[in-house]
Amino acid sequence: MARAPKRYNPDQLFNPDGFRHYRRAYSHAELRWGLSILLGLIAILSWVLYRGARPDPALFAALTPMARNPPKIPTSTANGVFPKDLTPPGWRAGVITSFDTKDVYKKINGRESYYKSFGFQRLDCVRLSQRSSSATIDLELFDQEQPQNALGAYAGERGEGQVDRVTPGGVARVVRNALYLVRGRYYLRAVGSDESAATLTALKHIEARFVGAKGAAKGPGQTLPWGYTLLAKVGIGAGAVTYERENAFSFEFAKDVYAGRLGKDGPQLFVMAAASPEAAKTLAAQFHKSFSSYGDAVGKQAPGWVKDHFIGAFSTASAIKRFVVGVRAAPKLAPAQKLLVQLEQALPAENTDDEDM
Amino acid sequence: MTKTCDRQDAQRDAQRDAQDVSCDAQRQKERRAFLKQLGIISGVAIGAGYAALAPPSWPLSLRDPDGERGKPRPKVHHLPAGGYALKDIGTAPLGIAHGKNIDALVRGAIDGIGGIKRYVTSDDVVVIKPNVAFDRPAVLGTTTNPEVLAALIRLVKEAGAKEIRVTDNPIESPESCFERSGIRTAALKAGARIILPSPADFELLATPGATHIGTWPFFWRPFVGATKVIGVAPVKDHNLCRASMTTKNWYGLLGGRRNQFHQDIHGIISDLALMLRPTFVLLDGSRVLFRSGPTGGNLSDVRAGNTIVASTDSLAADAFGWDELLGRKGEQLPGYFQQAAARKLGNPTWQEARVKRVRLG
Repeated sequence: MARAPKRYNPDQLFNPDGFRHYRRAYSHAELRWGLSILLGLIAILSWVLYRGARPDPALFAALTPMARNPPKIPTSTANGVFPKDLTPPGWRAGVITSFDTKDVYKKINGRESYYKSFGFQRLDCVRLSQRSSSATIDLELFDQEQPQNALGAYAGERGEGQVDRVTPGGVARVVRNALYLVRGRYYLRAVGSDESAATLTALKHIEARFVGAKGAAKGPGQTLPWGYTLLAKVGIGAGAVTYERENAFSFEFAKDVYAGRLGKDGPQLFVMAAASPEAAKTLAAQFHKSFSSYGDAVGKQAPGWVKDHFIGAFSTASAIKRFVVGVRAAPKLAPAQKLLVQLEQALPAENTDDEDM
Repeated sequence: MTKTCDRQDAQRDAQRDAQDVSCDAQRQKERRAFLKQLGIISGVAIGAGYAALAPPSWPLSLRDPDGERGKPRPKVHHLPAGGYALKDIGTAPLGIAHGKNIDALVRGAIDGIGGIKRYVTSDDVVVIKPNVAFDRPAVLGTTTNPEVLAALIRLVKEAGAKEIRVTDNPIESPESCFERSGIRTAALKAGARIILPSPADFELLATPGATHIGTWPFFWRPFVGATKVIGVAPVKDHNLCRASMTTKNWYGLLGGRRNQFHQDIHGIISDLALMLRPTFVLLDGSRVLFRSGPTGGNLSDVRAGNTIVASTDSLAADAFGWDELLGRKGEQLPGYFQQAAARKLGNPTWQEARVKRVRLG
């Protein structure tokens, strides 16, 4: 049945059939304009498709190197910042992952602030897997910017009774399943999944590669920082020295302090460099005041010694040239006074730069 | 003739009158239609004007001066009121089991708080949240002991749970963390389902009263349809908050840039206690990472704890862990204990709980 035509309503304001046109013909000019616009649109579309298929290489310059060059998975040797031939025989290395100050939390969430407090710059990680078993060793190489920072972070993770060895340009220790090593500004933690003979052999291999690495030998780790050398002169080996970058002994003013204990329960000797002799005097006075907050002064001779209220141990600090030297928690006063004299005599000449000592 | 003309005039007049009447009616009709359409247009214009110009706080206003209202609004979820804790527990129970047989320890600790059937029934969908934070072997003590998790799953299964889901959101690769820690194998073998996080699994969660996570991305998918939640966390030293145990364990359910919360670590842990009220928690003291936490890495930093603790009060369980497992009795408790206790989210004086301690083989 044919549909009845809609009745024209002259009162209708809105066109009820908006898509319908009422013109019988179009001009040639309109047709030409329409075709021109259509051709223009087709040209633009073609250009977009063409350019899309041939992107400008400069657009990818901002992408990360890893995105441009996916890391190769080494099969027999680690690479990157790690020494060559690091991978022990019978082990294979995984992919190296790197983290900087902004994203290190992704790897060590909850502990990143510890390394940052020692000047953390970068962490490179690689996993070594033994081919014949499920044993693994996770290598974590921390770039701590300065050798003393690396040594400080290293010393802070030393457990009670753990013994260090001095290596050329650094220190190292193997404790059960793990190797800890400092070389120059780098602090390496090699964490084995077990303490089997194979893992321990592999740790030795890794240590030898790091200590003998040519690149590291040229680096700043060839000599230990001056505080280590100084304390070694009074009988404290480098393995027993700690470096506190800030807040040493929980004293807010104590920064860049080298300290070492003589024996398990012996006195702790410490030394720090100040900017000037006057600054050293101020710092020594601050140490003395802080020690006095939980002890009483002993004798009237300078430097003033303080006897701890609680443990009965003796502490002091004195300024010599632009250095502050001191003794903490000494069980007996007379030997502690002798140690302080030894430490003062071991100090270098006044014009020596502390970086070169 | 005159009459005829008069008649014709009268007819003409009548016709004219009739035409006039018709024209008046037509005019009236046109005016009415015009007024009607004018009314419609005016109404639409006024309505649109109101919606566009009325202040945003007014009803039906669509005004969006800063573009914020135009943004898509993700749905904000809520966990059940009161969390997943049982009602009428009264004084929190604390079940402590010492020994070396993991299965016996887990059962003994849970029996100490009334037994698993008190907490899990046959209709339950149970979410178990271990700590799988790091890509390390379990022996290094940075993650929940997989044997403890497996023992717990077996018990929950024994109680007849309809479904058991094991989940965590480590910052490192979740697949790798679950595999290396042994959690994946242990959970699957014991009969649980593992839910690993993917970006689409996070939804906004509202935690009214929370300082930092009032509305925050939360690993939501495992909780869809869940009726019970159990946390099982190791005892760890922690560089920032000093101790990471069952309360800190919920941190693993947060998404987003959660590392920023480290600036107020005690505040966020207190928020976590508010965010998730579990059915009960299990403190895995089979091993204790007593130093270099939370990442650890050395076997010499781990000692055998030979203890499992169960409680409905995570603060009580953690305080016990602080005193007796980390061996820090006498030292001041970390700040989050006090903050959470002030919100009445638990009692860190664990001795005041209903303690049931057993020694097993």
